[in-house]
Amino acid sequence: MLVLTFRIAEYSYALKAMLVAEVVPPAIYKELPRSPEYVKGIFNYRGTITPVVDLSMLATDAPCKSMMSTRVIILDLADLDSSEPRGEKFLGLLAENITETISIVDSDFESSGLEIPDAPWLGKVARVDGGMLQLIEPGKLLSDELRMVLFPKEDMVQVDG
Amino acid sequence: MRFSLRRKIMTIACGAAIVPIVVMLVLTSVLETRLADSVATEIRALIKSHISQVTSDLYEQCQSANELLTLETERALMVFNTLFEDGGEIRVLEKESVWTTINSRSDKATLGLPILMIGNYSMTSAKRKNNPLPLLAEAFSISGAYGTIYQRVNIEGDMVVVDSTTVGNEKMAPGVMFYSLDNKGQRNSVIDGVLAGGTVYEHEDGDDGIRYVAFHPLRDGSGLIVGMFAVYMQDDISENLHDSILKTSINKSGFVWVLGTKGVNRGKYIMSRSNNLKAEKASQVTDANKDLIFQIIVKAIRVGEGKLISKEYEWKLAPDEAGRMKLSVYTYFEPWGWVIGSGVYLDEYNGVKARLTGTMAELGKWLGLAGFVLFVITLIVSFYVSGLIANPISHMVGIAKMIASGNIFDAKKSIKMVEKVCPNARKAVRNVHKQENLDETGLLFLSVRDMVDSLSSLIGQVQRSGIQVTTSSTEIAASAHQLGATVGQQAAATNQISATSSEISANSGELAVTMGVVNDSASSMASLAQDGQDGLKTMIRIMEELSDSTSSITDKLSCINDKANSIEGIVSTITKVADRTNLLSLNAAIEAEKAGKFGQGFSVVAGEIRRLADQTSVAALEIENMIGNMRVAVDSGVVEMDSFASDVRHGADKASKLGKKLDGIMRGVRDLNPRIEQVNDGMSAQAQGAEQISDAMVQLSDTATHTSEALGEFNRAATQLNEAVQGLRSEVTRFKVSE
Repeated sequence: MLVLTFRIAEYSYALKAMLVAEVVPPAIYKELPRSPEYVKGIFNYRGTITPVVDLSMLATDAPCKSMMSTRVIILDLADLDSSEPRGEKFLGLLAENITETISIVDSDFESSGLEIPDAPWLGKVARVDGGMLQLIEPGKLLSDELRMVLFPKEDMVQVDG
Repeated sequence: MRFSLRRKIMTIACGAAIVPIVVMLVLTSVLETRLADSVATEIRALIKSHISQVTSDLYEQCQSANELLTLETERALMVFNTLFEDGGEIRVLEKESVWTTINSRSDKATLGLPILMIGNYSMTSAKRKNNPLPLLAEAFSISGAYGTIYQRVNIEGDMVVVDSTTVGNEKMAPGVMFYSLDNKGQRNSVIDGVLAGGTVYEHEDGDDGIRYVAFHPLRDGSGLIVGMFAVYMQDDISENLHDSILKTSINKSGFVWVLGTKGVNRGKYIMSRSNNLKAEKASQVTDANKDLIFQIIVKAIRVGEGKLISKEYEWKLAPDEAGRMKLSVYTYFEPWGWVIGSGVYLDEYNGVKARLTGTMAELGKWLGLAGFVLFVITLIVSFYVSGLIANPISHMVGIAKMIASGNIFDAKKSIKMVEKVCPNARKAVRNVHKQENLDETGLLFLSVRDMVDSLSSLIGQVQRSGIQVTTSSTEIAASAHQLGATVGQQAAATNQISATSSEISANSGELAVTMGVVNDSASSMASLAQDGQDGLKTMIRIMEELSDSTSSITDKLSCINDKANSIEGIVSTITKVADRTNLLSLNAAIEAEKAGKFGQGFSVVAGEIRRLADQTSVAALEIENMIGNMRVAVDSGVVEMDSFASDVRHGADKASKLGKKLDGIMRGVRDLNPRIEQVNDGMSAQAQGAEQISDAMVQLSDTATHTSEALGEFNRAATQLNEAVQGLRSEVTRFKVSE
């Protein structure tokens, strides 16, 4: 299995490459007033208005540093929620040090044994050279509340209609 | 302990106040004791005379009652005799009648007796029961006396009552036997008297002793004594006497009493009037009281009838109770065998005594209180007044002590303090011009104040004068010393001057020679300066060239800087490209993963691309570091070149200034030569002058030595003066007029 690695604070995390639509350089975001702090803003991804969530802010309350390797991982909403149509709604995740993909065997991942109510999106853990790698479950990343904020249903109904 | 003036005054005042009170208290207590004693005696006498009077009154009353009773009984007897004489013949019939006797000696209750006839009346049990003889009833109505008829039973004279008008008298009820012999076998005196034919009078025993009975024989026609009759008065008299005695009261609980001395009544109360009759009666049974009562009876009988006896004793109402003191006066009344007395409890009179002594004690208490108040007032007043007298004096004593010890300053302070503190002193100060208003302490205060002022000013004056004299003498001595020193110095100076002037003359010669040498040196120095100036000019030129080349190096360095900047731009572009390439390789790898097996080859390519991008990034980073180092080096080179250029300019300036100075020196040296000639001439003239000065100085030195000796004499005199003044000062210093 191929995973895309990135970093939050000093620790390495990973996303399954299958779930990643594309990695893009950071752009200029339109900030959303009165939105949660970890919602960085919205930007134009290939003609689609896409909200961006700052993973570092979400996990550690410190925003991502502005570096070359700080990039946006684009996820297709259809990969997270099978009820969504493919290629219409995307979610951007801002994270640091997105420069590597690693190929790891599935069985190397083990359960961390911890359930953190405030961070249900933390997944299994694997040992790699130079430390631990924890998977991020993007499906659990999008809580109902966040989903209401970022992808309101009314809009979708209108779009469908 | 020192007995100060103040204490003395207070002691006298308090003593004067307290002594009369103490004397009064002593007198009061003596008087109280005496008064209590005399009052007690008086009261006793009064009580005694009172109860004596009561007792003698009672005695009189009993006597007159007795007389009355005797007279009445005799009169009644006469009535009975007359009636019996008129009543008809008295005879005894042969016929017998049966009597049921009331008899204490014989079991035989019935007795047959010949019938006794008085006139027409027969004395039989049946006839006379509840129907007394009319004769007796008539006699009772006339005389008020009860009559009883006895019939003689036998020759011995035993009698039996056959008729009676008595009421409630068991001894004279019909059928009662009256034996001629008593229980001890003695003949009864009454029966004997009657059988002898006479009338017998008797105070009846067993009752209260005042029943007076007359017995008279009854004779038949032949003159034989066949019976007798008894007469006694109704109880009116005795009842009246009882009432009269019982009504007599003495004080609150005083009472009269009557004791029997005969028969069954011996030692018993016949009458008593007290608030608690039962208790009194009960109290008789106690042994102590019984003894007392018998003592009283025995004494009364021994002393004789009508004699008053007084006795004081303790009377107990109950055996276990505390007794009360009692005073009684009693006498013996012989006819009835009575001891008549009256008594009071003494403690009832204690109240009078207590009130009297209480008043005295009250007086004593008030005297004590008044004494204490008087003592306190005297203490306060004397404390204040003694303060007025003693305080100023003690202050004056303190001040005098200070003056004696020479501490006049403290004495003055103390006077000021006294003026503030002591009212008497304030008054003295206010009335300083009206001294006739002041008392002795005020005058004393003023005098001491004046004395201290005068003394203070005198001592102050003396001390100041002493200080002035000391100062002056010290100044004189100092001046003399200075003068001596000056003269010495002068001598030394003249000696020195003379030596110096000799030296000057010698040196002047040597100087002239040296001047010649200087002249030669100056000439050679001028040529050396010329050479120096030429060298300097060459140096200045070289420096200017150096400055020019420095500025050209600076320009080149800035050119290098610009180049470095452009290289940085290129490196940045390379970095961006590398970054993009990395991104591309990532996306490619992701896409390859998505493509599954078909993407595997592509995935390898993507990895290679990413590796190239990484290497490019590392190379770009290294170039960037090198450029940074180079720029730092260039910048520091520019700074150093700038400072070098300024140093060079500075050096050129200094060299040109040095050249100018060397010019000046050369001109100076050229001018010097003619002046040195002039100096040489001056030197010779100076040598001659110096020798003349030396001679004059020797003469001056001699004079100075003389002056110095004279000053020594003067100095000794000044020292003596100073010593004298010091002696005076040390004496005066004892007096302290300021802090």
